[in-house]
Amino acid sequence: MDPFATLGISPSFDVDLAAVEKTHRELSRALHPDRYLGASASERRSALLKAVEVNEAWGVVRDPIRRAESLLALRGVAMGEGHEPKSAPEFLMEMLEQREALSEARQARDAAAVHRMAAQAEARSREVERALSEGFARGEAASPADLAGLAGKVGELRFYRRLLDEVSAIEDELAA
Amino acid sequence: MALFEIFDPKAPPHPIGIDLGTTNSLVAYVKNERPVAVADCDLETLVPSVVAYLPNGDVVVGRRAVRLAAEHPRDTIVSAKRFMGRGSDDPETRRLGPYEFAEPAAGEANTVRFKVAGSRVVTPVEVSAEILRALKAQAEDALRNVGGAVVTVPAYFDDAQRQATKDAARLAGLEVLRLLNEPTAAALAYGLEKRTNGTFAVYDLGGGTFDVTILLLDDGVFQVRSTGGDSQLGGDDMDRALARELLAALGFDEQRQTPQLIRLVLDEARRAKHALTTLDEVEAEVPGQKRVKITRARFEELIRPLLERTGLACRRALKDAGHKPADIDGVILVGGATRVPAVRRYVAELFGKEPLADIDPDQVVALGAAVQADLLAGQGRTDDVLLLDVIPLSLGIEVGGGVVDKVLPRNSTTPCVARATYTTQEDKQTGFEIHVVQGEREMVADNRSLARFTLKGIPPMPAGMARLEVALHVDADGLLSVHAKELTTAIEQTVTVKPSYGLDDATVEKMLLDALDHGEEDLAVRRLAEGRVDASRIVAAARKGLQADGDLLEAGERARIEAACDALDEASRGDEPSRIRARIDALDDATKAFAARRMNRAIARAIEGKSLDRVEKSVEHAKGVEEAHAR
Amino acid sequence: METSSQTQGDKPQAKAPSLSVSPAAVDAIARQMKKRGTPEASLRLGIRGGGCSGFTYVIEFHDAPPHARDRVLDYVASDGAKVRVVVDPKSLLYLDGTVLEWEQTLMRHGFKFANPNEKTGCGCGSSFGV
Repeated sequence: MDPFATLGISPSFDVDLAAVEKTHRELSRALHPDRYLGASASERRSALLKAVEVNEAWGVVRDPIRRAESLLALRGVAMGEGHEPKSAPEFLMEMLEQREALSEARQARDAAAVHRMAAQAEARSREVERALSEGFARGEAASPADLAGLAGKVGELRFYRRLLDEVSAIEDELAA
Repeated sequence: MALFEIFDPKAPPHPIGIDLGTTNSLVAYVKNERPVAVADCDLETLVPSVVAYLPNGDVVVGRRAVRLAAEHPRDTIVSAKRFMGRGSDDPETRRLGPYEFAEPAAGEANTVRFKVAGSRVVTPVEVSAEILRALKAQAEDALRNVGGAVVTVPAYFDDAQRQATKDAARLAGLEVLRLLNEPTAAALAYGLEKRTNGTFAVYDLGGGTFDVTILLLDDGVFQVRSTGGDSQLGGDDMDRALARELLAALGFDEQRQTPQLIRLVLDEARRAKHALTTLDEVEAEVPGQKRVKITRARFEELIRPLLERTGLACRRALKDAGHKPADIDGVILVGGATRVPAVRRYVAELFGKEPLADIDPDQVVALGAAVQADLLAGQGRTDDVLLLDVIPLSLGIEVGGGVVDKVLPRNSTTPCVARATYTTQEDKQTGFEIHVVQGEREMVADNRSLARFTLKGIPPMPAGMARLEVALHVDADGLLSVHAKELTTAIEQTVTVKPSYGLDDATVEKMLLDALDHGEEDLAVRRLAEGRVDASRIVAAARKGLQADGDLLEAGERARIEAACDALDEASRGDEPSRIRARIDALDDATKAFAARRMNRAIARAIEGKSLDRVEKSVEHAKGVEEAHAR
Repeated sequence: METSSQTQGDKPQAKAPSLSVSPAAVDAIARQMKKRGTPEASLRLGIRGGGCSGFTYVIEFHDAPPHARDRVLDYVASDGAKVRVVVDPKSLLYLDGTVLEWEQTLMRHGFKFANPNEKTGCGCGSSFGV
């Protein structure tokens, strides 16, 4: 499935999310199951399948990680869990350190440290997103090595996402 | 003296909206394009969500049941909604009331079951069904012919709780058009009457649940941007906080508290809370005890931690939606507990603006549900309004080491499907355990378990060779089903799992039969009625399609479709459900190709509309460039 | 089928329980039949169990011919339209002497059952005991 085609846009990392969201809403207006309550069973089924496809496409396009994965998949690079390229040793090291720091902050119930880590991780994921945007902007010129590099960036972004999810769970825990 | 209108037995039944609340429930319908709550004979619209089971086998619902609560605390189920979809071993379950629980027998589902009136055992689903049945009867007294229902649930309800709610409605003999999130219903009531666009927060502090929802209203599309809340927080907790204070002031330690006393003190606490809405000071009086003075300031101090918990959830929901409090164009208040002045002040402070409260906060959800029911039953302006819901919590699957693989991220728009592929860990492994969990945490243990089952009969293969595809489907009601199949073998296996606490169709059917006096007979009557309702809807939709997109018809197609419509009309005048079903299928066949063409057109239009916009913008942009050059 | 042909305002036959329809109500029924597109339909009056006081009134369109034991009352509206009202014999026992009236004010309009047998009413007035 090409989520970009489903939403009527050309594949790119830089997308006008507000415009795509509007398209998604228009498509939902046409396809949502609520519109087909009075319809025949087969019509309901096919509308449902389309609505699911449109929602899936929107889920992919609006999320930088899934958007990047999908762009790589369109260029023949297998993506998803288990297909990440090996991370650079220094990044692995950074990951381990951050994890450790987070669990220490949690033990110490140090909310300020947790907030600091969140801000750092957010800044780092913005940097990685910028790098992805530049990498994909090179378009057809990208070599397999370039693509592998981008796939690595996606892995980093996923790490920061998990870290941020954990941070917000810990924030809730500390606030409760 | 009431005035009567002539009832038309041939008119379509009235769709209804039901707010099945923790403390109170009510039913509403749309009359002359405006939603109104249905009142009972005493002109009361709120039905307390209380069910009393008497020793003589009688079941009493509503205000009469409330009066029985003090005398029969264990047999009168209050706030049954709190127990919906809960396990009996859940530590919260025991905290929630003075009830006696039946232990599940070996091999039985781990569902909460109350022991009432001596030996009777009822589930929260059955208790809720009694409330829904009472609401349905109240609607039938007013409207005679009641059609499909939209039933609301807290946005934060998980899959098991939604399933339980739907089961209760079916058990009450209601045709459920849609489960609707309560805050979305409230926004619908406001949005439709005020025709406002913008980003709204719905702050719903009910008796037993707190929900906050960030909603975007744009061109008639209501989109839930994020939801948050706490399904264990509400006005009841204010009563409890106040009751603890009263018990301490009266000198009761825990050993001397009987269920009867707790019930009396809770009732008095609730009265004091209501009085403090307008008074600065009240005297609480528990029968047979000394009076206790409570000031509003003390009450506000007691509930402050509860308000702060709502604030945390609000900030979280704002963050999830990518908004700051200042971005919010309006805050809608829902739930009786928002009448407490301290709550209004807190909300105004939190969002930096006075909340909207012009619609009765107790009724607004049911009124919105009625509007939605009317739309879905095809009597309202279907083309104007659409609700897009999201799943409130991520859904994932357990992978090695107790880690969760998030398959559907939270805030995905429903309906949605996500697939993930796994493989076997051991040689010749023939079974594969699939464990679906809900939540944001990385480890399975920190999330909620939703469904666990084993896909069996995989042919023996070396480890890593089998390819198991697990698909999670979430429908527009937010209900989950899980399908699993092994992809490398010729035999495709599909297993559909009902969530742990829901009832399967056979159980519901059996319970329905048990509940009806003339089981089979009544069921046949219902099938016929349902068949007729479906038939009239489908024929109307088909004819509307012919009118709207007649240019897409191929030669002879119109005649075939019209003939099928007429045949179905004829069948629904008869009284054979099977004949109606057969002709529904025939009409379905006749319209298949036409429907596909219509859908493609709708999709093309949806995309085109937006790309046209973009083309115009780029033309404008190009013009700007030329002008700049010309200068 | 018992038929008692009447013109407006006639007294029903002696002794046998009966009810009557006021001229304004006859006109209102005729208007609504016309609006519904079924000037040939009848109007069924009766009572059924329900509501808080035990019984509530029935007033509905009846498209089929009258049932075998129905009491049939024929009226003529002021514009000459024929209006047929049917009542089942059981309901008639409770409706004996009732006049169906039409009330129209600026605020509301609708039919009213003036029933001398009504003993208890309720807040909403749509249910009664006998």
